[in-house]
Amino acid sequence: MSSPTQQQSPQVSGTGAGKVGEVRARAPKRPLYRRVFGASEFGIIATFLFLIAVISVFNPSFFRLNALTNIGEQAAFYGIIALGMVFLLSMREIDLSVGSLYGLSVVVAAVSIRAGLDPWLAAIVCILVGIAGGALNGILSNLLRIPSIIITLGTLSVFKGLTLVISGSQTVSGMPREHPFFTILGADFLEIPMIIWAFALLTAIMAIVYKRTRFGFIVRAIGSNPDAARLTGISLEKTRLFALMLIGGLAGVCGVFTLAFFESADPGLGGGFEILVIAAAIIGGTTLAGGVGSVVGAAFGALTIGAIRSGLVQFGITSEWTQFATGVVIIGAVALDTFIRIRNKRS
Amino acid sequence: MSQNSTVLAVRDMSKSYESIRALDGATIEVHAGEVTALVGQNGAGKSTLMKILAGSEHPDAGVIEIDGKPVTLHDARAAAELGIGIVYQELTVYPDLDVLSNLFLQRESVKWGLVDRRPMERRAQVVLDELGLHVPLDALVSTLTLGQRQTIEIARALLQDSRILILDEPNSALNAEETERLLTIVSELAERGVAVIYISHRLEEVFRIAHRVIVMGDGVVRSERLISETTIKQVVLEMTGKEQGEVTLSPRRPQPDPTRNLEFIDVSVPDELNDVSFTAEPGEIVGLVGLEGSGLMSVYDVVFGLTKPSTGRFRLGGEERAGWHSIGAAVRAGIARVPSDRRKLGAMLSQTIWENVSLISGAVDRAKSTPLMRESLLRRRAAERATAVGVKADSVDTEVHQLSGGNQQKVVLAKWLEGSPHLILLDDPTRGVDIGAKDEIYRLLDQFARQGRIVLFSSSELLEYELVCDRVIVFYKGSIVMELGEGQISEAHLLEAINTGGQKNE
Repeated sequence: MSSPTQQQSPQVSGTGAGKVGEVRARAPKRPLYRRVFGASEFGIIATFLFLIAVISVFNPSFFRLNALTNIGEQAAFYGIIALGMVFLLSMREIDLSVGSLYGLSVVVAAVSIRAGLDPWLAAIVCILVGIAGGALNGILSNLLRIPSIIITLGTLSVFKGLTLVISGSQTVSGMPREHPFFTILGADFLEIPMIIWAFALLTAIMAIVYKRTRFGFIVRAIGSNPDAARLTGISLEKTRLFALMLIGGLAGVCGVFTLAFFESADPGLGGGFEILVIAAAIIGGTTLAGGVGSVVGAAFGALTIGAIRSGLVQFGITSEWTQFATGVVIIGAVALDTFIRIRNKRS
Repeated sequence: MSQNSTVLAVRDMSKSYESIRALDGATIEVHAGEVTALVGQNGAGKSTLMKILAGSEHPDAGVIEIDGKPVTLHDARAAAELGIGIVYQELTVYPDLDVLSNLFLQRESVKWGLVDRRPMERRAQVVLDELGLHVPLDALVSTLTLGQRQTIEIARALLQDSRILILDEPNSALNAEETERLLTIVSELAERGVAVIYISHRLEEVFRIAHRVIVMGDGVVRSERLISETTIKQVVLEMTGKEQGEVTLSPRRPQPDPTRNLEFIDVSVPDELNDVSFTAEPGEIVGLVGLEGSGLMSVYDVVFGLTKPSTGRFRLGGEERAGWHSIGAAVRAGIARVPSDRRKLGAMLSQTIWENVSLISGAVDRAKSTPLMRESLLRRRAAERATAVGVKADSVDTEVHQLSGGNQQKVVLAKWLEGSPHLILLDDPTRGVDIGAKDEIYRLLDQFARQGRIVLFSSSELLEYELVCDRVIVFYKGSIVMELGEGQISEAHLLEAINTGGQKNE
């Protein structure tokens, strides 16, 4: 249908006409320090740096590349998946099955390699398993009209069960360790593990997808007001499906690096991951209410959790307490963030 | 109705919300055994008065007297204890509880610390029988019809021994039969000595059951008359007596064009529309008017792809169709829909102006958007649009929740204009918008029509039809009963038409 072309100047009389101010295309640039301190990621990045600083002061040996890459390596495993969780939480959805799906993708890939599949092809299988699992979540949620939180609560168990069946509840080992897949992806590049490079690269890509693409835009619109988004012609179902496939794919990518690094597949892999993944996204500034989120924040959220975990070890606190401390930090970080937000709103 | 004693009196009641005077010294008296109708336009102060009587709002000034004694209504409980029962427009029953629990919520009979149903059942049965409601007391309220739920509300008020019963548009969700039943109940209650305050927009009902009618406007009582001493016409005049809006729009010239117009051809939707046919031409604003349940919203739903008609088709831009496979398809075909509930359905409040305005051109319409968004282009366009529709904001980085209602609505309009719509469906576009912004929105609608678009318009404020529309189509019980052209559109005429379906009733 053609859009209307004839444009006549409106002939109206009455009061109030003509007093229309111009709306600018961009707010005037705020001073640099305001932009830095006002950025939504500022809180979490500052928290992370602060933690590193505190730990280093008490234990100078901590502040070495080795210790830092340790944190990064740990954080990358759930951090990569947390990038996808930002999209889901932003549109008022969630995926509880990511940990199981991650474990499943690794086991399927490992079993295929053991059965003789080329590891590079197995890597693709690994990612495809993730995407397929995400698609299953999305299709079930859309077809059955059941919220994603319930569907993925179910598939958490389903994927875990499949993992146990396929692996026979045994660690899948016997990988061809000399294959380039393991010697490249499982090793360091410029003294930094490959998975950290992948984490950094994916963070950059996902940040662009979230902020600058049509898909990210739609995700945020849905989270902000699903009814309005639907009435504007956005398909909630399609977007939900894509977002779940995205996080599944990220779980698969994470699986590829896991397999390359460990050179085996433990069927217990990924247990409880969903908690870390959601926590990383939330302390990174993504709200459960939707519409607001930050990919970079989630990456630093994951790093912060990693720093706490290694920091506690540095302070000689037994590893039994790490889970306890992680929980305290999640609540503390979100409480602080809420407090700051309320303060900002008032002023 | 023997005794005409004053049960409830409200004297010199005033209440302001920020800068708006909702009540400005209103005085009313309500008598035992009478139905007192309270009528007036939106914003007349009726609902504020009711909220004060319900104890949920506190007046700035004024006195409430019950049986001649001044009382203070701190909260809802205090009002209930003084014998004031209220049935609200929106049902306040709990669908997942059974009938008995709904009737006695928070006033349950208790024995040994447990709820004792027996005495409650006995009392409830008496009241339900009186009201003619025959449902099991353990039935879930969700299984009842709307009319039955409404009766439960009335029963709840009666079980509190209410001597003063306030009904706030109690039949807005009821069908004709249920309405009949309700009116009979209300009359019977009055005969038993209850003082009833009946708030309604439907004047012919008011004239059937009320003894007295009080007209409110601008926070004051405009008139109080015995029903036998007035007429519908008179009441309408008193309701609408204020000066009409200040906008006067010069006449438009519709451009009839069968390849670009909208035509409904015998469209039916079960229980909503029967064989509806009409046309709307480019360049004209066509008003659709009718009460809740008259079917006019189904017209919007059909055009916008939310409802598929059971029979009939519509033609838009020369193409005949039975519907759209998605809302997105309707939007891409150039249809815009501005909903009445702006906060819930229109704007994305936590997003910025540019994000709201760019939704269609940036995301929905693939012909106009790219996978990687051109943000600076979208910002520039959003800024132009926002300026053109007169949004008052510093820049497009302003978040929409920071804007006034009128400016939020303009952002919603700007969003739809980005889709270059050929057909614009408006539902109460000025709801909750202050007077000045209303005029600006009227001008925008006029501008849309002059640009050769088709504009369909509906509003809960009948006065607006006269200001804005070239023609008005009257819906009554799912059918078109009348079409009013230029010179025939007046608030009084419309009020009568939507209430009576066009049969003259003097």
